[in-house]
Amino acid sequence: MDVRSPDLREPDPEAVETLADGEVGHQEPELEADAAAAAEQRRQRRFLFTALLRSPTFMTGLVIVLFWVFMGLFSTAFTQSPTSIDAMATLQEPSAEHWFGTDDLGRDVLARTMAGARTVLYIAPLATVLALLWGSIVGLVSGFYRGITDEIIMRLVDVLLALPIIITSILILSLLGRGMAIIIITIGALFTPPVSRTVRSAVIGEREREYVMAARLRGERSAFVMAREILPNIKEPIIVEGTIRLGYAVFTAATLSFLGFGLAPPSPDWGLTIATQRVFLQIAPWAVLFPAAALASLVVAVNLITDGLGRVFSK
Amino acid sequence: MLRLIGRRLLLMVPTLILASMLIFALAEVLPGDVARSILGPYATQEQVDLLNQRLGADRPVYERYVDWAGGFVTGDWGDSLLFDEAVLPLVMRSLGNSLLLAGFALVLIVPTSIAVGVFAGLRRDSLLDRGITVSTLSMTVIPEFVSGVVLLYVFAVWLKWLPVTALPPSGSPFVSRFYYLILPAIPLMLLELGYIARMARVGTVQVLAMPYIRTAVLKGLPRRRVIFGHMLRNAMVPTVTVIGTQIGWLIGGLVVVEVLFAYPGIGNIMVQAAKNKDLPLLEASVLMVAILYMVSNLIADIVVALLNPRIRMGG
Amino acid sequence: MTTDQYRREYAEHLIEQCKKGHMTRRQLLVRASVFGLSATVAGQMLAACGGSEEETTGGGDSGMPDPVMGGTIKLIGPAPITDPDPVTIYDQGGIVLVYQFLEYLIDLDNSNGLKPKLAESWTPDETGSVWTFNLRQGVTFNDGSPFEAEDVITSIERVLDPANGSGALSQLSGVLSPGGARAVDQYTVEFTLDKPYADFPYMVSSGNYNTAILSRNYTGDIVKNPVGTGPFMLTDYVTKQKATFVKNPSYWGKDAEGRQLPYLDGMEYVMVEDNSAQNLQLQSGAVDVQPQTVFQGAQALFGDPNLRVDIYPGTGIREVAFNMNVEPWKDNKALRQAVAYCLDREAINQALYDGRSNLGYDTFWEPTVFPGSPASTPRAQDYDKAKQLLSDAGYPDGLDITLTHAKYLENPQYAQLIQDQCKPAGINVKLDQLSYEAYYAGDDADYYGTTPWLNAPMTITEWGSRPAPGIFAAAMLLPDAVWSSSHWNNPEWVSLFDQYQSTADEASRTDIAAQLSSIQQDDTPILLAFYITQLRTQKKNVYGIQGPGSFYCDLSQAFMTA
Repeated sequence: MDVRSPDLREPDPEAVETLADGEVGHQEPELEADAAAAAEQRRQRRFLFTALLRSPTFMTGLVIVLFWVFMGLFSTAFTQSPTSIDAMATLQEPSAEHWFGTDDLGRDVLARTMAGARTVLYIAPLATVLALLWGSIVGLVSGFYRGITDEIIMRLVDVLLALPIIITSILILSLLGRGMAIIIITIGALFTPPVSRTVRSAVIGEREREYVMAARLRGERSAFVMAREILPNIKEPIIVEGTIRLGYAVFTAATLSFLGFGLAPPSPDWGLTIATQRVFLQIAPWAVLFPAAALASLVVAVNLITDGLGRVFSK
Repeated sequence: MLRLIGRRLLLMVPTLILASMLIFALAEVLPGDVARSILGPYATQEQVDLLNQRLGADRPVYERYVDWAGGFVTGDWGDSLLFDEAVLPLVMRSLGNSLLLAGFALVLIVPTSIAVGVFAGLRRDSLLDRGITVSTLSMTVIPEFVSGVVLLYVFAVWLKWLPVTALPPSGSPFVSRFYYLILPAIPLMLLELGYIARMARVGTVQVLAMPYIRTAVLKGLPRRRVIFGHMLRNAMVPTVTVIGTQIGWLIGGLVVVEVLFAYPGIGNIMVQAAKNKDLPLLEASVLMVAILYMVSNLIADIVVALLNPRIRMGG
Repeated sequence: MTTDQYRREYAEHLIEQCKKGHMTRRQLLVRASVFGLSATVAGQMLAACGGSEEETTGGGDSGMPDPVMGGTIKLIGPAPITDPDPVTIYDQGGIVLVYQFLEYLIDLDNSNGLKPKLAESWTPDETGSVWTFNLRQGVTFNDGSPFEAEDVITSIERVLDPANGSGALSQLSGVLSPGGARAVDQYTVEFTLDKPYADFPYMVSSGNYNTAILSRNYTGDIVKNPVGTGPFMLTDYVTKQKATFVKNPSYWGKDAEGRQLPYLDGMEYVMVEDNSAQNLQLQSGAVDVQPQTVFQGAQALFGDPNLRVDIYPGTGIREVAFNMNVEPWKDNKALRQAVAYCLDREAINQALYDGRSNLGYDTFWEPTVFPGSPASTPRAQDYDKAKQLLSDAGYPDGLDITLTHAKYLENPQYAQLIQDQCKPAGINVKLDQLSYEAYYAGDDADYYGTTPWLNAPMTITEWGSRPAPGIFAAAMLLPDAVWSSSHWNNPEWVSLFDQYQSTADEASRTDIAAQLSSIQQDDTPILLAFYITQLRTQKKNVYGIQGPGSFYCDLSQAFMTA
């Protein structure tokens, strides 16, 4: 779990390239000090990147997540069809033909387990992006203006946090119906308050800093100061918060589909599969245990990434 | 102290009022047409209008809210459409069942996680220590229905050590309920085990480094007893804090575990109410959960403050 | 011609049919029981037919030990959807429950024949339109009041009143009108039917389960006032959890040796929705009997050394209805047939029932299930034909349809099989899966117009066993049937069905049935891919449960050995 100190003398060419791509128009070249700061920033990013590459925690998580992304996108190209039914071969135990056995409708469990990654990998990242977007806006406004605006927003956030997320999402989904878009928006909306809290406290730490003062003195509009000056400087907590939320989003999406508020059959979604196949736990445990293991590996992997990222950032 | 508690309780009131508005809005305003959402897509407009009239849904929103909130405060929670029973006793009965399960899980969490943490701490940096840390932390992120279904398979189906149901046959003595609650309580316990065990581990490592412990051990006192006695006291504060901050997840977990084990608790009732659009039951049970959530957070804060006088209770 | 003569002639008619091979021995016994011929007479008739003894069906209690008195038996099954009301119940939980403390005039035996219960005997007049029932004497309700003709009449009038929204009404409408039941004396009831009806005794048997005999003082709310004549008395009812019964000490029933029934001291019905949880409880030994075992997950029960799974030749179905009030099914026979030709019934039976159920071909007159029915034309999967029909129907490029069903029993799997099998023909089935409660939501008389199961364009509805094809047909295919999901209205079929009901002569009855069957199959208002074999699971030490599986679980002679 330890992170070895990165070697700064050997710049990683790939890292430099990636970083260069990432920096679009954040510079204020007319100021000398800014150029120096930018160089410093670049150095730091390189440091972070190599540190991440050398963090076994981060890399393990990343490899597993990439595995599932790959499976979610391409598995159907080389597995059997995840939805093709074989009524004559139901609930068969693992064999050479069906490595993970078959389910109650004779579908290949291996194919379904691999394809099952797809839905959760759509829902969780999109919901997280929405939450980060909304949460950043709310947090920036709240932390930047302080005063009565802040008071009101934070009271509302408190109220939203007073209801456990799973309960609120059940409430919303049961009344608005189900469907991928509704699930994504619901999770995104419910994850907005915690994100906005994190962003707000980061903003409060930044708003008295010199560069913010300078921008204000230049007469920049508030929106500009928030988006162009403060936001780039609070990237780290937002990224960490994002990975934390991503883990929770996977968790929440799977739980909702287990409870029957997610997608409908014949989707190979893991939560749904576990909910429908657990009837056969006694006679065909493979139909339940493989998707369960897959889901467990994905949530653990996302959390390994979070962990690795957090450690590297805190160094 | 009492004044602080009083202040916190007073602060809870506006949050609660806002929360109740939110629940009411989600349940009755958001779907647009209450009767339509109850009767489904096949009802004729006349039937919908008739039911709306019967439910009083054609009156202004604020009037309905005041009616509902007034009813809630005075104990008139209406009748459940699904269970054909008054909501108040139904919710209270389910809440009692849930508290029993959650309480039992909490009772199990403390000794287990401290034992695991101390055990790992005593073998600091060994392979075993790492294994314990990684696996318990992984457990905290795995959805309860995944761990629950695996536990169900291992302990109830395969080894047959524990019963598969969460309720003993009727007529059994009350104590036997706990035996039946072991299996449902474990997934809830696993949610928190990792955090608390980690705290206990860090505590152990620190305690081990203390001069007087070394002296005591050198004097020939059994090392484990010295550490354990000391640890228990030190580990209580972080334990309570962690539990306090995790209550939202615990309630979410409760919903899932109750559905998985078909346990008649508030979570199960809520899911059923949501699925069947039983609005009186849904609104009352969600509001009760919100109250429960706030109260238990408050209790956790008070206990922390009592255990550690240096922490002051904030607003 | 006196009634006796008429019956004698009917008996001879049956024997002749049997000798000619137009009727099986089992069918003869069933028909004889419907006409109120006693078991002795039926036995003599069988002997007159000649031939060998046939296997008897159901409940393999061979080598049954002597009854043991006492003990409380625990049943497990789903909770009633709403607190049970005998007049309107339709679900398994509700029916199993009321069956323990309420009784019917006539009961079903293990092979769907009729056996006397509160009626000791019944006879039709020579036209078959007036039926006289002699009631059992000396029976009292568990509140002490005597059981008399008056109770029968109020019970039957209650289900005949449209205001009560009873499912029995759709069986009885056109057969028996309000005022048609008359007390001849204290223990004799005469039913004057609207038309001759050969199957009438089924209508007042447990096969038409809303006709339970209630006290004349019944005012509703059976759970609070559980007054009945049955072997047990309801003492405690906790909604969605359990119902507790103790034995009715003044029960009229005696066993063959004259011992007081029931043997048991009491029974408990534990309500558990989830089927796998039910199975696990059964295996753990926490409960003794599961009145209805579903195939899903039953493999574990078959393999359990402590349990016995009885297999009954059931007639339960999963009705796949095309709602003909709405597009695209309205006036489009070819489209409905196209779907029918997409189904691989063999494969469906294998996937859902381990190949143990009987195949159906979209008609109720299925000789393998209802002996004596005319032969039906098998419908095998035929995509060429399906595509041709689809193009005839005006959808040469296929179409999208929605199939609404409850997340209950094997319905989700069945829905997915239909979806899978329709795809090659170009029919895209969208699945709309609802919770059990939502599927039947708003299902009371006020809201029949709203409930998904009667109003969605295409639905899967589970039906328990019925003793005769006509009873199924009357319940869901007549235009005025309350439970018609297809809303089929074929005047030719309706008038034939009317004739069928009134005809007693077996040969012409079979002729009419053949026409009914072919019209039903051709018009395809509903898909009937199979008739489900019933399973009932009990611990090995449980004996003596009667009834043909499914809803009916008669515990009056049940007992448990140590």
